[in-house]
Amino acid sequence: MTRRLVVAAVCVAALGGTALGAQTANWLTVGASTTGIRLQSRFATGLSSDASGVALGASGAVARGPVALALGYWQGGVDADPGGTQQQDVIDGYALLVLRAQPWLGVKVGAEARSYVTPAGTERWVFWQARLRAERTIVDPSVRGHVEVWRALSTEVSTSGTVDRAQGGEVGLTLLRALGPLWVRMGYGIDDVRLTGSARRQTLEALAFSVGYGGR
Amino acid sequence: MRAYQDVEFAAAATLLRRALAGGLSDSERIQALAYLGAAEVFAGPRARDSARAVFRRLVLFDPRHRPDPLVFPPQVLAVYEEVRHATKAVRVEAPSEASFKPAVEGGGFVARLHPTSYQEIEVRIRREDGTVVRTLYVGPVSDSLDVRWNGLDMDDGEVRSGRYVLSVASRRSVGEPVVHTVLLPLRAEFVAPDTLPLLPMLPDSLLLPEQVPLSAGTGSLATGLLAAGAAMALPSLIANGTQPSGAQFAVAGVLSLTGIVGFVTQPGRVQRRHIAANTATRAEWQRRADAVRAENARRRDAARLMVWVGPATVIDSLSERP
Repeated sequence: MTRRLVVAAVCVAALGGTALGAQTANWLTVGASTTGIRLQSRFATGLSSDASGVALGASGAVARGPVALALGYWQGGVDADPGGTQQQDVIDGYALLVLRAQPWLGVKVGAEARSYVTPAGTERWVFWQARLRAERTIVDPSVRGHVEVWRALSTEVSTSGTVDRAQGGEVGLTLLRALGPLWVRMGYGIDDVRLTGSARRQTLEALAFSVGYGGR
Repeated sequence: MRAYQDVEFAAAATLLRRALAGGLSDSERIQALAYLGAAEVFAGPRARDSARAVFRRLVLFDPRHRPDPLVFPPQVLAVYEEVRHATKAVRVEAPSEASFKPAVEGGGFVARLHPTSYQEIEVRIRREDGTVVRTLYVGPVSDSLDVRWNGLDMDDGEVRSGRYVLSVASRRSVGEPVVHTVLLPLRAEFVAPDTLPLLPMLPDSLLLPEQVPLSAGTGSLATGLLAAGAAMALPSLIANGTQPSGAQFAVAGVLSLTGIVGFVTQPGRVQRRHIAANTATRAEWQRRADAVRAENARRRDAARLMVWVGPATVIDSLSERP
C-alpha cells in the first residue's frame, strides 16, 4: 500500500500542474481542538489494553498559492481503568508540507511524532508519512466533507523492535463561511501500527471537534 | 538684356522672344518679360500694343511684380501701370495639401489671392458640376487676401468627401461681367482612424448559475453518503481486525444528515456569491463596452478633412479693356 500511495501522490502532483497555476491565494488558518481518543494495544502474548481519554490540541496552516505548511499538536491522557490507576499521556505533533494538486485534492508529506508517557518510561515514535486528502462540498458553500489516508514511509521508534506497518485515515466535515471567518470541524480518525512480527499492535481512534479561524 | 542696354531694342526683342520660347525659371521669365515689354515700348508707337500684350502676360504671371524704376524709365513704368490697372485677374497661391478639422475656428484650407489691381472678386467652393457649396468672399480686393474654407457648406454642414473647385471670379466692378476666372481643383477626403469593433453581447458562458441546479441536490446527497460510507469503512480499511469504538458512526451519521440536508435545500437555492460574481462580470463587461464606445467617439471626433490641390486653370472670359 505504501508504494501505491506514493505512486498515486506523484501522479496527482504531476497531473495537477494546470490546477496549481490557478491557485494563487495566500491564506493562514489556526484552530483548536478537543478530541476523544481511544488507544488499543494488543500483544502477541495475548495481553491487551483498551484505554480512552480526552486530548486538547492546536493546529495551524499557512499557504502560498498551492503550497501550504501544516503544523499541529495535541496532548491528552488515556486510562484503561476508570479509577485512573493505569494512566498514560499521549502527545502528538506533526509538520506536513501540503501540495494542493487540484482544488479538491491535496498531497501531504512530512513527519508525525508521538510519545506515550507511562510511569515506566516514555516511548517515542516518529512516522515519515505521505497523505492524500480529498475534499468536496456537500452543502454549497458552507459544508465540506473530507477523506484523508496516510501511510508511513519510514518510522523510528524508541522501543524494541521495528515497525512493520503504520497507516491511518480520517473522515470528517467542516462548516465554514456560515460563521464568517470561523470554521467548525468534526472528524473521525484512526491509525494502526504493527510492530515486528505482529508482536504488538497499537490502534488509536480519535473523534475530534475543532474550531478555527481563517483559511481558504 | 545687353542688346536692350545697347539700345538695340529690335534685336533685344528678338532675342528675348526666343529665350521666352525656351525653358526659363520663374524669375528669369519675369525679367525677360519686363525687358521685352520695355524693348517693345521703345520700338515705337506701332509696337505699343505688343508692349501691352507682353506686360499683360507679365501681370498675369506675377500680379505682385513691379518693374524696377532704377532700371526702367518712366514711360515704360507708365505703360506697365496702365496695363496692370486694366488687367483684372487674380493669382491664387495655395498649399498642395491641407489637413484640418472642419468647423474649427482658425483651421481650414487657406488660399492667398494676389490681384493684379483693384477689382471685385467672388471666391466660392463649387462642386465639379458648378453647384456652389460655400461662398468664401465677395467684394473688392486691391491687395493680397487670404480666403479660408473650413470644410463646411452653405448650411454649415460638413461636406462629403469628393472633388470640389475653388473658383475666383474677377469683375471690374459690381454688376459687370466676369472677366477672369481661376479654377483650383480640390480633392477633399475625410480621414479618420479606424474605429474599434463593438464588444459583442456578454455570452452566457461567462456567467455563473445564479440558482443551484436540481442536479446539485443529488450531488450533495451522493457526497454525503459516500463520505459517510468512508467513515464507516475506515476502521476496517486501516485497522482490520480491531474493535472500533463506534465513533465513526457519529461522523457517518452527521455526514449522511448533511447530505440529506443538501439534497433537500440545495436545488433552486439562490447563490449570492454567483450573483455577486455575475454582477462584477457584467459591470466589467459594461465598463469595457463603454470604453470602446468612448474610444470610437474620440476617434470619430478626431476625423480630419484632407484637401489635395491640383493645378489651377485660368479662364479669360472677355478681352481686357484699357
